[in-house]
Amino acid sequence: MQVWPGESYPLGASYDGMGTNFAIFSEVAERIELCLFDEWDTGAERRVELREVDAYVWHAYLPGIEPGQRYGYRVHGPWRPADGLRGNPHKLLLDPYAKAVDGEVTWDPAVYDYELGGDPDRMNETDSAPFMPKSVVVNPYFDWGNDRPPRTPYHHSVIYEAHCAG
Amino acid sequence: MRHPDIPAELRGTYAAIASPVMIDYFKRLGVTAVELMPVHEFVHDHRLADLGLRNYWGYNTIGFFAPHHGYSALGRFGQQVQEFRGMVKALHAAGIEVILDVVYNHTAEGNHLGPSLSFKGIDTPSYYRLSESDRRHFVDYTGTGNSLNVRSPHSLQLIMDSLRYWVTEMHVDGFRFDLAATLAREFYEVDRLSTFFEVVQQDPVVGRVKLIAEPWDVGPGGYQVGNFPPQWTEWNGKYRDTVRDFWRGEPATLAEFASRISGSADLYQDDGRRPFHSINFVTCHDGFTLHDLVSYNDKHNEANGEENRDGESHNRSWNCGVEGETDDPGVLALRARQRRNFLATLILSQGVPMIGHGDELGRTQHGNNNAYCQDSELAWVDWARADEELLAFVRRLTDFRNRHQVFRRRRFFTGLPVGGRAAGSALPDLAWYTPDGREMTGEDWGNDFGRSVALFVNGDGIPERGQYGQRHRDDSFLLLFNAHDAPLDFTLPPAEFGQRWEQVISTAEPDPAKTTVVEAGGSVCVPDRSLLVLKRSV
Repeated sequence: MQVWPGESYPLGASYDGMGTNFAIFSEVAERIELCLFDEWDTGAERRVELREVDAYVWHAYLPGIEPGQRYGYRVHGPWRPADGLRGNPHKLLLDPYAKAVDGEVTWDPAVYDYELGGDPDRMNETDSAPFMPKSVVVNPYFDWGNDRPPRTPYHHSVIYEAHCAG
Repeated sequence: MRHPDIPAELRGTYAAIASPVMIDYFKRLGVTAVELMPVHEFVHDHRLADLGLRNYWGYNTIGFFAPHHGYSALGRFGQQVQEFRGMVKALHAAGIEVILDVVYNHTAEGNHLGPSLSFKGIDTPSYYRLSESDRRHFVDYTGTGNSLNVRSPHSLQLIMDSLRYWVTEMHVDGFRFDLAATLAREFYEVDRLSTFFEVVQQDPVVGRVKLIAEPWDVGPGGYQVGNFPPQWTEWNGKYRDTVRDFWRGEPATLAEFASRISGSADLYQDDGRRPFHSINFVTCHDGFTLHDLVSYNDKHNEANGEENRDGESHNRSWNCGVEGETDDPGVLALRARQRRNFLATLILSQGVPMIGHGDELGRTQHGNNNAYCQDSELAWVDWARADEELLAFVRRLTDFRNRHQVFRRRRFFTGLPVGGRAAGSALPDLAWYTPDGREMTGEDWGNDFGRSVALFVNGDGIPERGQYGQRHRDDSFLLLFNAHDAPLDFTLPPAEFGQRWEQVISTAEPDPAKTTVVEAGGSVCVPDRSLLVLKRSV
């Protein structure tokens, strides 16, 4: 797989029609791996080291990576919970800028970075990837047609508080 | 949305909200904006999963850019984004705005003992407020285990990038900020001038959409109703409390009730805000539904698995004589009337009315006032049991409001003469009267037992101009409020206010057979616990 340097902005995964730029901020990380997953949940994982870091933004451009691609990150960094530093590369992490997420958290002890029910300073070294949802690269293009915001003035507004599922 | 006319496979999805069935429903209900409870990707908590429950409300975000996959009918590999956009486009085409309830105060990762799903493993100190004295521990202003670190430029960027994304790429029209006081806690205190507000104010995208604060959090000094920056509107919690107290007959509520229904000038006028900066509501997702507000004195949250310990205990509710379900016709009639009282008061108050979903058709949660974990029939709207009579009444109310500018003023009332119908008889823009037809005095307002008042609103007294510079002339109205448990005769004000008045709305008789007409100086009987609205006809 080709890995190009890409750009540090914008954060998140950005598809441009030919490939996808990945960018993630971390001031405390020592290494970050981008992890790519296929769509069949086989557990197969390809890891791509992010070698470019500009002002704490780690990035790469992967030609040919398209919308629908599932991914996550593994962050290597200091494990010092007493100082608020919780780097643990055994944990597959969602992109804070993920524009779509596939799946739900399975509540296995592996999704905790310490030994659940045990010593909170002891790192849990089980891979959390099988139990974690995945970030998804999305298609930024949409035919908005002649969409325009209604811009209803407040004094003409009546608000209806609603729930998608209810 | 699970309306039975929506195809089964679409119910509960973005596509359902965009369906012609729901759009028609919203239009006929007369609402102009749908405020969606959290649609950012969220997590079903570990604790709830262990109890066999799920997070229904969704105030447990893990992805601030992702539309929650569970509400997608089309698929999970990014199709949810296009489905969400399609929903916004369809609502916009019908003239309906989309406001998102957003939760930037905390994430789903809990405290130092919570799971490591994203931010925590990437950069805990940048994303979370850590205790100054012990950086192992997370600061918690929200009751959820953590607080996003709004002092960090990277957290602030995350929030602003997310807000901009939802406006520019998803075309939403505004946001309601959950526990917004937390966003102002740059240091320890809630600070109105914190960076977050400065950044929002100068942002050319985010600063231009509707920004609604839930103006409190659970930290010290967190109750900030009336104190958000001038650009922001607020959920008016004092409106909710006062209107509930008034109609359940609590003493000493009259004066505050008057201020709340006339726009809460005491909260908003001092910093240049307008009546519409008050988002008025009686009920919302958090607490009793309207039906339950008039059917239960106490919460009944056993289904939540915490032996009824969770949820607010002080609800200002009244069960009308029997706790919960009953077939007593007297109790049922009173409850129906109380629901109409609340909805009529809400929709005729100055400010922006917010209706909780299903309250217009009698939705019940059987006394559960904290349905956050009830992704079930308990919390869903039961369309089969919709109270069509109530729905018709609410439609008439919103239609009435939409036709009468005097209930949608942009400026506060002054109480001063504004020029009457005839020279020499300048009437005030608003006036308050006792049931025996005297103007209310300080003593009347201070009377702890006062539960009734008449409000005159002057259709000739609207100072602001319309969109095209036109002068607003509207009808004038008398609103006769009687929260006593007995009927009361109201004497109408003298002839200069109006020669003849006709009944247009009565919460005691929602669908009257004939129109009552009353002459100036005459009297009209307002039934116990009801609101009568009269329109000046001559």
